[in-house]
Parts: sequence; C-alpha cells; structure tokens
Amino acid sequence: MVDIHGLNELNRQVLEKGRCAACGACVGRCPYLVRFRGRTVKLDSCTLETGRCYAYCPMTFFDEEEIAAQVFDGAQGVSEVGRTIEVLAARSTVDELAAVSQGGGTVSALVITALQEGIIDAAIVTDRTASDGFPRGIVATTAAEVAACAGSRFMGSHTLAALKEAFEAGYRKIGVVGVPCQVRAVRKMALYDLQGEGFRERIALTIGLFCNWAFSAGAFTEALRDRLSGKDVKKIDIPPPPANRLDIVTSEGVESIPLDDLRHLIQGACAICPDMTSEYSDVSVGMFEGRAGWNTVIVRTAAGREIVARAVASGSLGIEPFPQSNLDHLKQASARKRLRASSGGS
Amino acid sequence: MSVLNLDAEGKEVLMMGNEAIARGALEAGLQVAAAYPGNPSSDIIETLAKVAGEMGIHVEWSVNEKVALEVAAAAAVSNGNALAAMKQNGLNVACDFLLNLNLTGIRGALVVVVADDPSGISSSNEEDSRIFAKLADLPLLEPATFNEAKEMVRFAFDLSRQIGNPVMVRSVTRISHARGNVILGSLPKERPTLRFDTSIPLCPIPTALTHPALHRRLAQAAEILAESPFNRYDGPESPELLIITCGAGWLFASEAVEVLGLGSRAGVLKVGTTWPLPNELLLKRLKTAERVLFLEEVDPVLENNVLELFARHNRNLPRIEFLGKGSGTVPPNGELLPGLVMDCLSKVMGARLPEIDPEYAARAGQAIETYAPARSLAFCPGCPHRASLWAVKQALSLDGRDGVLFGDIGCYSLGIMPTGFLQLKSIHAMGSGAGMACGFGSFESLGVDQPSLAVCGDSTFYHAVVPALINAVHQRSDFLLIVMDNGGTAMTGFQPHPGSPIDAMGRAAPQVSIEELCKSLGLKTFVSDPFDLQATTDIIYELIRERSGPKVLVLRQQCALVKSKKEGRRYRMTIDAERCVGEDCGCNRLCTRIFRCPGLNWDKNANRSTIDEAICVGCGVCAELCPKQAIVREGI
Repeated sequence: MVDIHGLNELNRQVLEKGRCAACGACVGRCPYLVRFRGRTVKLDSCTLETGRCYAYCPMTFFDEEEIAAQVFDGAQGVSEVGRTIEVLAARSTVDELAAVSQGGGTVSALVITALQEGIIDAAIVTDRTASDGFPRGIVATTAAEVAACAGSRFMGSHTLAALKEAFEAGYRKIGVVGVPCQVRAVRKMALYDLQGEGFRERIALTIGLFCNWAFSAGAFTEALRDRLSGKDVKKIDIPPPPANRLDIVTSEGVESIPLDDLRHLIQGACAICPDMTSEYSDVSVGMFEGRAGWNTVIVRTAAGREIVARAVASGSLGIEPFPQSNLDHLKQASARKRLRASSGGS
Repeated sequence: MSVLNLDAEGKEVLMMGNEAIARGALEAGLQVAAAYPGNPSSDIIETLAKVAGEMGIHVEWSVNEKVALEVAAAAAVSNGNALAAMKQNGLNVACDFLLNLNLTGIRGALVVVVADDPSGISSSNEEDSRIFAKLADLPLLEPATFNEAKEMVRFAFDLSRQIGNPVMVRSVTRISHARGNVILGSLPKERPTLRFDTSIPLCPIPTALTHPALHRRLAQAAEILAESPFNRYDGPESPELLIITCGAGWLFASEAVEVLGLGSRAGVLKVGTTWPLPNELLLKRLKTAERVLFLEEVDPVLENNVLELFARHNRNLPRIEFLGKGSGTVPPNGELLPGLVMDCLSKVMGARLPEIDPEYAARAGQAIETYAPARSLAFCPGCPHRASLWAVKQALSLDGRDGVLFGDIGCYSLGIMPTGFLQLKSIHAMGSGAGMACGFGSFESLGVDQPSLAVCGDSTFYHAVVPALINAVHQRSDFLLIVMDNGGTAMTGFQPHPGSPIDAMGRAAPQVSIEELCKSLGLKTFVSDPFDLQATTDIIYELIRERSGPKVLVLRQQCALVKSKKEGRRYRMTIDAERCVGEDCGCNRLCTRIFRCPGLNWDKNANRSTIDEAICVGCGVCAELCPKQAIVREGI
C-alpha cells in the first residue's frame, strides 16, 4: 500500500526538485497550485496531510501493479512497450487532418470518431496556445475543435487542468488524450479518487501519446521567443533520428535549431520517466519512424480495440500490420527510456 | 472653547499628558508648532491644531521631523516662541539639523519635545533620546506628572530664551498618553514680534568659537537649573536606600515606597532637570547615602551621569552601593511598570509584597480572558494593505525568483507578520525600504537575480522616500516601489500629509501628487486599485519581470476605517454554507487560514467559514479569493 501525502510533500518531492511534468493533474483543484506561464506554481502552504495533488501526481509514486490490475484484464501480452493486444500502422483517411497532424492524424481520427459515435461526450485535448501564449488543455466536443488541436507541442502543457472543467460542465463520458505522465495521472485519479468524483466511471477513453521527453514550456517558449523575434509559429517538428534538430515552421519559412542547443530546456521529470509509449492507456499512438504520414498504434485494452475498430469501420482510419523490424526498434527505444529513468536520468 | 485654551487661571482640569504639554506651550506664548506624526507624540500638534485659528498661531504637520524642526527653528531664530514635537525616531531624522542649530544658537525660544516609547509599544525601535541632549549640549527636562509636563514646557520656553538655545523636554508613553489633573495658568496677552535680524547670520563655523559658546550656554543653564523646583527629595534625611528617579519612574517609585511601607527607610530623589544635572543637590543626597537605586525608563542615562558625577567627587563621598540597570537590579530596557518597580524594591529592601486577594486575582484573570482575546497583530477588517500584500505575494510566487520586498514604518509594517502573509522582509527607518531596494536593485552585475521591491505608505513617501527614488533614477537601479496610498497618515491617526486636500489647521491646501512627482523624475509610474486583486497581481508581476530601471506602482484605496465611516459598506457579505468546503482538499480554509481578515471567522464545528457582521466592512475582496465562490457579495 502506498502512502498518500499532501502539498508539503508534493512540494518537497516534486516541485522543489524540478520533477514536475506539467501534466496539469494538480493545478486548479485548490487555491494553492496554479498553472502559470507553462509552470506549476505553489502559491501558499496547505496543512492537509493527504491531498489530491500528491495522490494524482504521476511523479510522486506509481504503483504499476495496482494500476495494471485496474486497467488490464489479463488478455494482454507484456513486452518492452507495455501490455499490448496488438500493434498496428495507421493513418487518418481524412485529408484535412493529415495536413495539420504530426504523423498520420490517427489521434484526431480516433477522438473524432469517439465523439461522433457517442463513445465519449467530451475530449480533453491540448490546445496550441492559450491567451497567455502557452499550450493548455481544452474540453473539445466537436470534430473542428479536435482538429484544431492536432499536432505535437513538445512541451509540458498542463492539459489535465481541463479535466476539472469537463467534470464541472457535467460530461459523463470523457476522453483524454495525453502523454505518458498524463495517462498515468488519469489512472491514479481513477484508482484513488479521494473525493469520490467518479473518475473511473466518467473517464471513458484514454488515448496515450508516445513521448521521449518534453521541454519546459516556460523556458522553451522564452527561448523560442528570443530566437524568432515575433515570427508566428505554425508548427514545431522533431524529425526522426539521426536529424537531431528541431524544425520550427513560421510564416516566413522553416527555422532549424540543433537539439543539443535545447536539451537543457527539457523537463527534469522526463529524465526519470520510464514510460515512452503511454503504457497505461487504452490505445497509444506515436510516430511511425521511416514511414511519413503514418502512425504506430498500440492497442492495449478492449476500449482501445473498440475505438480503433469503429474508426476503421467509419472510414476515417486506415490500418496496416506493423512490421516486426519496426516493432523491435520501438521496443529498443522504449527499453532505453526505462533504463535511463532507472539510472536516474543520466 | 477647548479646555486647551480655556482662559481660567487656577482651574484644575483633567488632561492627557500631550494636552498638558500643548497647554504649557500656549501659556508660554507659543507662536509656531510643527511636527511629523509619531506616537506617543502625535496629540501635541493635533491638540494645538484645533485651537490654532482661535489662538492665532501657526501649526503644521510638516513633511518630516527635520523639516518640522527647521520650521520651528525659523521662528525661534526670529524672536518667536516655537515648539517642535516628535517621537524618538523623529529626533534621529532631525538631529543633523539640531546638531548645527545648537552651535548657532537661537534668538527666541525653541522647545523640542521628544516623546520616547519605552518598550516600543507603537514604534519600530526602542531608543533613549535623552542621550541627544548630552550629545548636543542642550538642557533636558523630564516631567514626572501631567501638571509638571505643562509647567516644565512653559518653563522650557523661558529657559530657551534665556540661554539662546533649544531646550529638550522628554516625555514617555505613560506621561504623554495617560491623563491627570492639571492646574491651568494664565494665557499671555502679548507675544513677541517675529523678525529675522539679518545683520548677524547664523553659522556654526568656526567651531573653535561656536562650540565653546555652546558650552557656556549649557553652563548658564546649569546655573539657572541648580535651584529648580522640578528637582525634589522626599524621605528621611539619611535613608537606607536613596532612589534616584525621573519621569514616569517617579510615579512608580513613589507608589511602590508607599505600598511597601518603606517611607521611613527609603527616600526618593526626583530629578526633573536631567541634563545638565543639579550637581549640588545630588552631591548633598549622595553624602548621606549607603545604597542608591536608579529607576528610569529605557537606558541608564541618569544613572551613568550620576555615576560620572560620583566619580568626580568620590574623595568627598562615602562608599556607595549603586543599584540600577548597570548592576542588573533593574531590567536593562523597556518600560518601568508599577509591579516591576515594586518587585525590584521589595527585593532590594527585603520588604514583603502585599498579598493579592485570590478572588480579585481570579476575577482579573477572567476579565482578561473575556475582554482581551489572544490574537496576533492584524490589519483591520477590509484593510487595503491586506489586499495589496496579497497581490504582492501572488506576483512574487508566480515570478518564482524569490523577490525581496523591503519595507519600512507604517501600518503596512504588519506585512512582516502572517496578517500580511509574511511578505515584508525588512523594517527599519522611514523610507529605508526604498533606499535598500534601490541598492539591491543595482547589484545585477554582482550576480543578484532576485527581484527588488519596496513598499511605503503615502505619508512615508513624502517623508523620506523621494531621495531614494532620485538615487534610483540616477543609478539605474532596477526596482519596483509600491506606494500603498490609503489617503492619510493612518497609523498615527489620519493626520494630513502633503497629498491631502487640507492642512493641519483644516485649511484647503495644495496637493502634491505622488504619481506626478514620480513621473517628473522620469520614473515609469502606474496606479492600481488593490481591491482588484487580479489586475494588481498582474501589474506587479509584469513590472518585476521587466528589467527596465526603477518603477513606481501606486496602490490606491482609502483606509478601511475612514471609508467605512464615510461611505458605509460597499457589499453585504454572506457565506453560502453549501458551497464552502472548509478544511477539505480543494480549499483548506484559504480565507481564514491564509487571507485571515478578522471579518471572517472559522466555525470549527460546522467546518465552515462565517462572516463576522459586526466588524466586516464589506470591501468584498474575500469573495474574489474563495475557490468555491462560497463567499457571496451583494452590492448595497
């Protein structure tokens, strides 16, 4: 059994150590933790010995067995990429999505299908920029809103702060699209649900994203602002290795920055995160390295299998088998992240 | 007509010590009085201001104590009768001028009343201003009763005119703020004509001439004071214990001798003219003494001066055991209180303390519990400083660079305590927050990356902040000055200041605008309403992020005490108990645990907050904070 503490411990173990993943699970639930310009800020002390902030944070503790027992039914195979039912190659067959997506538009296609078929009544997705200039979570209920959020951010986005809004708005079947830490936070919410908010019942679908690391939104945005001097960012991309660079598409063209110049802006949390493929999602989606315009899809649960099947059936998703050599490569990458985390991120 | 200018010689009236001081000045023919507010001295000028019109005198709240003393001195060097009043800190501000004025001398009368605050009850510091009298070679008088306060001040004018130099009168809290019987004297029909004699300039140079002249004036004072009725001995001719005391100490000592029944064993020598000392009187008493106990407030000033006198004359004096602060018999600082003096005396004399009726003690204890609840110092309900410091706290937390808020003296000094969210990180002298922030904001090249901020009040701004701002502009210091403008000198009783539309005497007065003054110095200047927490937080955040030299933010909102009297409540506040989550995760009592306005109470049993309708002034700020919107404000 795990010990659940409160804000003081969260601050000591996570915030002060620079291990906040900016997932957004803790912010906005109380007056003491807020999302501010890409950072999680503690405003005051809290005297509670047990709090949702500590309980739901993916960086405080994560009981893999307990979570797995809740999420999986034993039908899954276990490998370096977590528990899987099947691994597929997929892409959206909707042209508009392919144009704005990072890979194959699979995530958008899945979310839109889920909304249209009533599997979910709202989706928590990450908006490119809020009014403060930083990405944030929004509650999307239409295909257009989902499509507007397509594309990677490559930075901590506090997406889960929007879950509170979705709950308050009364949505009963909520889908969450998130990076591994966010999926982990959502699973912790469902397992511990300290105030009986009904996370387990009301979160109907989790779509995990592959993630190796993310930039600190505050520092990264500031660095970009300095480099781009006012140019409008259309899209950010990190081409597959060995490119080792960040491409920024602006209205005036593409600007490339060597990744090594930016590595110091990576969140401290990412160095100790063992999860590359969102191992506790219903279905995980990532790039298909070497095949542009396609995604890798890992189906992990019955809910994940169903949404993929429905998307295919509705004609919005095309799937193909995933080549074994690519899967081996993915497993290696996933194992590398786990190893990095276990060695303390060095 | 006020009792202050009642023309009824011989009438006995009840007066506060500060009123008695003011009355004494009027009886001496006062023409000009000036001060900067500071307790326990403030009522002197306040009282005089009320009768200034009728009495045809000039009374002003000056911008600071140095200017107040200069204003008073302008009259005193022009054949006039003038008084400057201040607290101990004020004398520090004024002392540079005082230590030049003493060398030039005056051509009229100037009484400098300094009200010390033993134990620092209403002060940032504890300080014994009497040392300045010795430093400046000026006569010092210390009243022990309320009537004596009046008499001494009246006499001080005469003495000042006779020796041609200022005379200091030192009061203390228990003289200035307590009340007692005063016998009125006559008010003069005529007063001197004010005229500056331009044929002789006032110049302290060369000191080779002026310093000896100063000493001669002090010697002249010593002669005049030698036979002063302000010095008095009561007791047996050869007492077992000679108590030498002054000021409020005399009251406590006399009472203790009486209560302990020591009248035949202990004698009390009250020294009213504590500098220069009445040497002959003291030597006469020391000749028959075996043990001496000094009772005085704050520092052993009288004690050390008498010991110096003893050393000089020891060949002709007996061996004496001296007890006081130096021997550890009396606490080295703080107020003397009746109980303390009684304890002290009973130990020294082996006298039994009177027994306290246990029933009385129980009743007293109960009364204290009932009427004096244990609580820490706090801003008043609805105080705009609470809102301002909340915004500062939010902005500094959001900024995350551990910014430093330097502070100084005013109601907002409470910001160093939980009521101000522990935001102030320094308190020293008036305006020193701005000066220190100016310095700290200049150290970027030394690797300092903490934002530098200062806070001051509106009155403090005028008093001592402006030079620091000029310095900041010239030194390109990067700091933010926050002026918490609540529309008056609130802490000392709402005296007007240069930004007020009226002066001390109630006449319409030109207002000096804080923001116009700042802008004229080239400072980026902004104004915000602290009750708009979000806007104020945002602007503070933006201003500390921006590294662009000194900036000023005026947070303007009238003092809650004034506003509630003038305008009544802005909102009717209620708690929606259904929404309030109390101590649960999601709130943990933000309003009563962190925000801590006294208008909000915590109902432990119900696990809910409540509004204390008796004291809530309806500012509405807490409604903006409540994470559950459980605090409801309804416009009135």
